[in-house]
Amino acid sequence: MLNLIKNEWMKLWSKKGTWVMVIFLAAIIIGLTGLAKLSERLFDDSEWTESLETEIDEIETQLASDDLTERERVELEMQQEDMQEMVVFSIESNQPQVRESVIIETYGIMSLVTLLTIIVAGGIVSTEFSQGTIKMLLSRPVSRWKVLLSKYITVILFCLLATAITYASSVMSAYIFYSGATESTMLFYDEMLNVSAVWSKSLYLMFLSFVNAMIIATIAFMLGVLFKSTAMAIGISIFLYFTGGMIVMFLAKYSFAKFILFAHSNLTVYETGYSILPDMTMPFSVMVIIVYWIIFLVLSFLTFMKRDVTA
Amino acid sequence: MDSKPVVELQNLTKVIGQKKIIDNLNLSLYPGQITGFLGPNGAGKTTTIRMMVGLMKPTSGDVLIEGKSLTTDFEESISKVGVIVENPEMYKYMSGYKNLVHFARMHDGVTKERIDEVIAQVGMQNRIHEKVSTYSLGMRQRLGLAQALLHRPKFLILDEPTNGLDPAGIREFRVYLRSIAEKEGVSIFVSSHMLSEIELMCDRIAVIQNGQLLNVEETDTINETYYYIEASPIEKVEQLLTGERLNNGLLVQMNKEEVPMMVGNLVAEGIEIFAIQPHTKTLEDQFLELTGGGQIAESHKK
Ligand SMILES: Nc1ncnc2c1ncn2[C@@H]1O[C@H](COP(=O)(O)OP(=O)(O)O)[C@@H](O)[C@H]1O
Ligand SMILES: [Mg+2]
Repeated sequence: MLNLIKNEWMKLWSKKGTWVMVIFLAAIIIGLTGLAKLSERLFDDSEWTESLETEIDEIETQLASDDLTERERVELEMQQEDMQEMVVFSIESNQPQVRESVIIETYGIMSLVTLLTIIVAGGIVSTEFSQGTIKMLLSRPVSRWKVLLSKYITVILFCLLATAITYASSVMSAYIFYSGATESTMLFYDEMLNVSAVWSKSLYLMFLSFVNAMIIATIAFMLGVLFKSTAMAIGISIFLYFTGGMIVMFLAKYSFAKFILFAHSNLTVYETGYSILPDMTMPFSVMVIIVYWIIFLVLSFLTFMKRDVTA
Repeated sequence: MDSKPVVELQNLTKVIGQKKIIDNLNLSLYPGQITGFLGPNGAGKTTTIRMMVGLMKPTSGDVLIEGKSLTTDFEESISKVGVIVENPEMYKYMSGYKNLVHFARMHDGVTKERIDEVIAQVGMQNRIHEKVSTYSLGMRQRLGLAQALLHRPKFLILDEPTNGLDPAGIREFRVYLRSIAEKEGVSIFVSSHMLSEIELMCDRIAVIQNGQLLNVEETDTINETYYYIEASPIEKVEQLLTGERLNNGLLVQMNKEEVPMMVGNLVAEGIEIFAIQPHTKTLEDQFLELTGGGQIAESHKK
């Protein structure tokens, strides 16, 4: 089995495309983080905060004078309150981003990893058919299920590697471009997070996104086996990846919507609180994912083992 | 045949849709022998070979390799087989050497030394580290042969192996096959639609047409003696001798010793004899006869 995986790994990295994808991945992450830092300087909001503060001061002086009707006074006070909220927001949004927040938001880039893994998974079986090499591969003293398993493991390894590269490049560029948090807590969605928890939290989010990438890649893998067409496997999977959430929202009023894979494939929603359907729980989502995963793999293996090879 | 067969095809049948592509094939192949598998395009040669190496599953029947069934004992039985099905398709984006390493890893006990040995055997030392995409068809054929020989198979299957080789290459290939059959006792099964090729290369020939095995013959017993007789009136000759019409005369199978007596008989009947010539009926004639003119197999209607 180890030999088979070595073979798949060798074939994967003998293709120029694989190197291009991975280098592109690292470059784009470092590049985008740097760009975000640059644009922070360009869009400086501190003037807005200052002008808001002077307006508040003016309202203050107006309120101090005595010749105001009760009605005018209430109105001014409400205005002042709104202003104060805006000031808080402007200060918040103008906070220079800190290293920790870049690191914790790395999981947002995992859609790139998903795309790359789809490309690898969709082609790893079907290119053997389209290039006719499948007949050289299967007329060997190795059972077909071992051949297919070695290919699936290779997809997992690639996805792991791409995830690791993403995390490493993101952390690296966070250290290059940003300084560390000065306070001991930071805001992550609606909760305050202890800065010391950033590493474990960010890794956990990466893991959940990895699961998401792998389940979509498994669809691509299965389609590659079923249709023997790389283009179809990659095309359909990418389409489902981008529209899956919308499909669920569209069907949300039906009760079966909660059994659709895409209502659950993104497990990070349990950390951020943006679930597509209400009243979903982590254990239920995990269950649904596992059931789909098993179905995809069983279909792939049965088809691959029974097929007559005429390529 | 005194030795035990290496390979036995037993009632091998393949039905796709409604069509019987392979119909109840029985054939045994022996060590040290080169068996030709001759048939027009579409006769079912490739399909038979695909079933012999587990790429397609027989509808019924089985393939035994050294007595082990391919259906129940796949890994064990296929480990003794080296094969090239149609053109050898290699990973074009890798070097020839990496391709061989790749296939070597799928067999037990193929060492680095063995890989180098095979490369030398097929004469690929100079180009082996270049990408396969830069190879000519002839070089790909050599590489294909190399990957089939890596694990020292007892049984070698080649499907139309001389496609794309020039005459010198074909000749070299023939000599090479003969040497591995004789030196290593390998049983070789070569398919082709070109009879001249098979005739030169093989000890035995199995002819297939429309999925059915027509006959199996040793090449040296194939040439029976025929005589061409031109005489008048030919109708009278036909009454006396059984044979077939050829141009103005009759083609009759008989031994040399029978000729004087036949001449005497014809003269006694008052027949005028113009010519009697020995006629070697070539394998080609027999092949065309067997396959009804060697036309492309009936096309498969859906
Ligand atoms: N997958 C298939 N489905 C239907 N018919 C097929 C299939 N593969 C081969 N055939 C038919 O089987 C016959 C034998 O084909 P093949 O074994 O390739 O012949 P050969 O190798 O002798 O030229 C042909 O008539 C071909 O059309
Ligand atoms: Mg063929």
